[in-house]
Amino acid sequence: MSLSKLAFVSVFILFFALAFSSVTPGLAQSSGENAANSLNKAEGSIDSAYQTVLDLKSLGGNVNDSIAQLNEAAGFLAKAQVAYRLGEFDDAFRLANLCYDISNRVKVGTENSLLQAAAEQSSKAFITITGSIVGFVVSGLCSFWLWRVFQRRYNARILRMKPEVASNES
Amino acid sequence: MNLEGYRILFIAGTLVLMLIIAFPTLSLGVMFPSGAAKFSEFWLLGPNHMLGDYPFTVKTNETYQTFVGVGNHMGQDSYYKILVKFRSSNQPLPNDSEPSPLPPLYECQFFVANEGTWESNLNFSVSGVSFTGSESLVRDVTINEAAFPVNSSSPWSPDQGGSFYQMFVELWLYNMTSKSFQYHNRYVEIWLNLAGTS
Repeated sequence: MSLSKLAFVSVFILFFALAFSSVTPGLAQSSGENAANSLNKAEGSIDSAYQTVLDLKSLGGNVNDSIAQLNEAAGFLAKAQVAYRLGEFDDAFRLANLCYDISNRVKVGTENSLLQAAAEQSSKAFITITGSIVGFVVSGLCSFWLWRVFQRRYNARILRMKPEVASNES
Repeated sequence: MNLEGYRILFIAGTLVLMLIIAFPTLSLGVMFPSGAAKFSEFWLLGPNHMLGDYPFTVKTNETYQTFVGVGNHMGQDSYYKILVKFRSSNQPLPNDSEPSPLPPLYECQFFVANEGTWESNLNFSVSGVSFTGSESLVRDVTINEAAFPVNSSSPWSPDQGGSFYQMFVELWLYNMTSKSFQYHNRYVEIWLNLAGTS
């Protein structure tokens, strides 16, 4: 190999070594940032899915399946947190995205059930309130009528009571 | 009883009847406080699901099995997190209101239905143990197959014939208002003696 070729190869290797050393920390930093962003997104997604599940539960809906799926999502999130702490950013990114996908699916599914449960709840509430109002009025009127009947009978009974007349003839 | 007495009786009866009729409607808007106390159970059990059979004297690279569990009596489905931490005998433990400032190694997040329970394996091993002079050093702790560098040192106790560390687990509860986990004022711990592990 001639001297000029050797010099060219040396410069070429040096150039790539320098380029690689300056790019690698940047890549690591950017994958770290990506992982951190994914973790934040996954945490937010779990939070909103959990809120929806609680809302559905408060309306009397069945949340067993949603809780089971949220548990799966939370498991991925915990693994992602551990991977992030250990500097395994690619794993953290992948696991956080899995968590996001599952929790987002739970949220969408639960929101549909929530709309259905809210409609059922409002029709139940309407029936309950209407029933109470009707019951209120009927019980008031019945009581008043009963009272009038009772009062009439009571007065009649009093009037039927005649005072005893004592004779004082000698 | 005179007519006035009967009238009062009628009015009282009518009011009671109206209250009974209105109860379903009132219950829609009024929250009746439940008398039950809200709390979470938190336990750490040995390999045979017993309180007393925790691993104590541990050897390098040997895996020990424990079980950690949570019982939810918070009145609603709750979101929990456990943080597993490792400390030497001179590092801080959590107290009743503050978690330990030590960084967590392993963690788990999970949902528990109201009045439900959750339990999981917590398998651990220590590695990279060395004894230098009057203290021991633990380089790594592996929990459920994930290895964590700890580089924790603890003095050798000649009286008790060992060098003591503690693995403890803190319980955190998700707060929907602050949208973050908060220390739930509970932790469980086991002492580990590294005597003769090298």
